[in-house]
Amino acid sequence: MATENIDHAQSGGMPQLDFSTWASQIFWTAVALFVLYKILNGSILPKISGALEDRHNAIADDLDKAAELKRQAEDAEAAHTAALATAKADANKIIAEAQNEIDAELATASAEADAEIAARTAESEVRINEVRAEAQSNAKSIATDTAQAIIEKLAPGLSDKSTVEAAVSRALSAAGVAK
Amino acid sequence: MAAPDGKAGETDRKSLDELGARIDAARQQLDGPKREQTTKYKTLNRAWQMVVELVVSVVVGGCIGYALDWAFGTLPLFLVIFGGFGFAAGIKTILATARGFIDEDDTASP
Amino acid sequence: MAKEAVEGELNIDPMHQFDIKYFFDIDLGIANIGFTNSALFAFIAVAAIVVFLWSAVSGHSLVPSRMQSVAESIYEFVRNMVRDTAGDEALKYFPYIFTVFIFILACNLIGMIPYSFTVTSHFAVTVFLALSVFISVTVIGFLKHGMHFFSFFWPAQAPAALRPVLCIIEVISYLARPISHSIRLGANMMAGHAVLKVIGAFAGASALLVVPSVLGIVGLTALEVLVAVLQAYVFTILTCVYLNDALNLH
Repeated sequence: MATENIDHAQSGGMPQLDFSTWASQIFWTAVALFVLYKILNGSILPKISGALEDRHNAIADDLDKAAELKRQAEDAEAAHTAALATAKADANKIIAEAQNEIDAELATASAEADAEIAARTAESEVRINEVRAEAQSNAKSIATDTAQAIIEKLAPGLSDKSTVEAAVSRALSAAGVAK
Repeated sequence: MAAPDGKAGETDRKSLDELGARIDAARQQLDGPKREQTTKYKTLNRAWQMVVELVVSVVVGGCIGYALDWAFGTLPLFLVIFGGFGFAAGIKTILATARGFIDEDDTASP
Repeated sequence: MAKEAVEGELNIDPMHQFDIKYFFDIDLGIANIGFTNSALFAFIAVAAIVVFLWSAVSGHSLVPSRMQSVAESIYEFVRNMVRDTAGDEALKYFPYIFTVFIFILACNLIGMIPYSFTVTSHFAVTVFLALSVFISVTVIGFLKHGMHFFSFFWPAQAPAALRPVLCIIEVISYLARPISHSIRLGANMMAGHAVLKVIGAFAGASALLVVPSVLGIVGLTALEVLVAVLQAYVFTILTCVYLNDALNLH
């Protein structure tokens, strides 16, 4: 540079190398640093670290609380699942019991019905047999009467009631066997 | 009857797990140290830094050598020797600085 | 550059902005520690830091305001840097490191304001800062390890014949630390501002150059803000590295 207007010629253009100013700079820098350190260390840094600490603790507390709530939720969920399982088991038991009861009732009812049916059948058979016997005896007397009457017409005075009866029953039984 | 209940239980479970993961992540963030990213311009500064270290080391070595020469009247014997030592010291400092950069990059990248 | 300088010609003195101006003298005989623009801006930086941090923390609420969360991120950033680099033991030096970091950061950023003064662009300041760190760290090392601290320089695992040479090299690189530590910060701040000034002068020199110069200044100013933050960070992390060496001897 040719046009320099040097008022610090003794330093060769660099004020940094003008050592006559060093004492002043060092002194005042030291003073400034000392003042700054006193203020920072005295009140500002403790305040910042206090704020950070508080926040850290608050967040840690919140996280603990969240974890505790989560644990509670998990417990509740487990209890809920257990209750659900118990209820299901109970329901199954009740259903099975009802089923058994119904089955038993059904069995009793059907046994009763069977018995009644058997009784009725037996009764009916007895009556049928009675009717049949009656019919048979009626048929016998009618046949005997008829035979006797026929014999009377053909050969009066010859009819022997007992002989006719025997013959009729023989014939009847022969027909009954044939039937 | 059992199906919707089971489904609801499953989603509850899922959201609980998510909540647990979030709590853990938040806790880790609270306790774990934070890593600052290195700026690109740091690399700009490195070459300059190394040159300064080398030159300063040579000058310091040279000054010690010159002082010894002045004391014993052996100029330029110790000046040369200690200039060499200074050069070696500069190289050593540069290597240490470079290692520091590598460590720095390693810790910053993951 | 033309000798026949005309009005509006390249009339650049990029170093002029670094001039130290005395407001009044305090002559101690051996040195003049008068109040200068550098001292003024150092106190402006202190005031800015205190005002910013104080207003940020005065609310002290659980859910932070924007300012409060910025202040807290700076706090945590430096704290993590100290702990990650130098271990938990170093945390008791955190207030000092934080003070140095925020002071350098504020000085660097205030220097970005036009017509202001960059305290950290002077080697007097950066050398003072770096030497304070160097001496403190060395004293801490000796207080913690006593004479055993010298083992830091003694390469016990190297071949026996090489050990004395390596020891000298270790000592030289240890002594070089505060110098490179201070030059890095000071030179970065100085160079950036000087370049900005030169380009700014280009804009004033010729109408043709205004647009590219302004664009260049905008870009460079953005870069310079970044450098201002980065250099404060670098200075602080190196402080932590040195502290780690003193506390843990590698």
